[in-house]
Amino acid sequence: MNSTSMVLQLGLIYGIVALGVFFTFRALNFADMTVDGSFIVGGCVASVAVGRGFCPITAILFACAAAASVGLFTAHLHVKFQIGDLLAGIVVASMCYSLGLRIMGGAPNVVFKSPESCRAMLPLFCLCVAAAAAYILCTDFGLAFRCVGLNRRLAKSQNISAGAMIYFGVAFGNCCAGAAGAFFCLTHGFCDIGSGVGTLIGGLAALIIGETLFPFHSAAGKITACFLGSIAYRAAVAFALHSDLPFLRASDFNMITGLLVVLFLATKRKQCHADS
Amino acid sequence: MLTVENLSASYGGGKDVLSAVNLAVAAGELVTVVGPNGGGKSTLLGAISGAVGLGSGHIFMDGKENDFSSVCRVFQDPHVGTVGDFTIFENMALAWCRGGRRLPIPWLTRRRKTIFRQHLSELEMGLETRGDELARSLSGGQRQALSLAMATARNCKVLLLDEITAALDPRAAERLMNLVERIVRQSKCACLAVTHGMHQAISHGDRILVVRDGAIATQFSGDEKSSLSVADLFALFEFPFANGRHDINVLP
Repeated sequence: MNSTSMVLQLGLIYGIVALGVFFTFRALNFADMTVDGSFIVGGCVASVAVGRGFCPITAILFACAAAASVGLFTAHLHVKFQIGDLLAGIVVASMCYSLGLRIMGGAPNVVFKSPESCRAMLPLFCLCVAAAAAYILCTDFGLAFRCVGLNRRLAKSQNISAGAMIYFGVAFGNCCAGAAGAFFCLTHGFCDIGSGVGTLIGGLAALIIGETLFPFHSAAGKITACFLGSIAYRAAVAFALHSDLPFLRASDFNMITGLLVVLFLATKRKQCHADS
Repeated sequence: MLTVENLSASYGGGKDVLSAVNLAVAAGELVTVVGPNGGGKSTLLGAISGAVGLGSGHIFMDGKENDFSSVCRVFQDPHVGTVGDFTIFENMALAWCRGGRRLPIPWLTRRRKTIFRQHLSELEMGLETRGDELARSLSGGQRQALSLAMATARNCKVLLLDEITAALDPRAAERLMNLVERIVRQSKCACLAVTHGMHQAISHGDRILVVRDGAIATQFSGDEKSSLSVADLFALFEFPFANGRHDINVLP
């Protein structure tokens, strides 16, 4: 696979993560750290399902269900036990490491034949989930969901259940991460327990870059920006790593990631100051 | 429309902030509520809206006990009463679904747009032509008017106004209170308006309630209310009661 195809593939996969992060961090104002864990849970479930003969679509659906359950657990810790969103997410993400090992039968990684149809399914899946997300945000339910994130006190006075919206949003966000994890593992033909590390930062980077480069105002526009931002981010990282610059190495990936995020955040702040 | 019987309320099960309050507000009646800080005015509104737990007593909205879905509240801060990142129409759609199920159906249909425009036009502020603008582009007074429109959009039997003019300049405040009176008469809801503006309390509404030390100290209506001065009302905040009613003509 050439580097352009790889950029597009990874861009779409992490665009799904960015969409999930958009739902939790932006729309719901819930700092959900579970994503690193639900990404790998989704990957493990899909890999084991394909290894046992299930078709890729079924495997991805299993992965979505498993990751959504993980998200529901995080939401439950926050809503019922009043555990802060950050701490609840971190704890559950940590638990997902053990969960992933259990799913893979104790092995830290599994290798399997990558299903041919996965690469073709990916753009279609992205289109479907983006359309579904855009539709949800444009409904009465979506307005109530966004209100919980923007103005909790008004939401309460409008008889909107913040708890119910948190359950939905965190489950949906982690469902997206799980689906992305499933596609990541299925397209590469292996699943490693450490694959989830850095998923959240990748999703956040894609979200921030998308918002900065493509400042659309509509719900459909913001969701499109998640995927475009993810592709732009992967392209920038690929360029940096594969360039002939003598001082850059593959191990500089995390530093490049961080610097890109800082650059776009600083640009966004400057834009906001200029607008105001 | 609103009947409160022997209401007591406290925060977190502690000492009663409201004690044995009895109150009745008719449909289409505007009652202003005044009193010193900590007297229980906002707690009274909180108890009626369901935000504050009832220690004892009963609240009936149009005959139904504890029908909090028909109680609408407008907050002091216009930024709390609206969502700045929503358009005007989105804010109206949010309020339109209060008390009902929020279904995954498109929030803006042609029919709703017509209804929202009609409702916004009653404010006489030109907001009906700016429906697609963000609420944060509105002034404080316009945003409070939008809050009022949201509160009275649908199924509003009891309207609670909690110092809604506190953040506005005197001219905008007067305009808003005139709007409140008109909306209350048109929608036939029972309205309680807490205010620290004594002049507002005297010049607007049908009755004034003075709430002090967790109870309704006294009330004025009709000619008695019209003949009150600001100094008379201020005096009621401090002087002790005699037989449950303060005689403002008696020297302390």
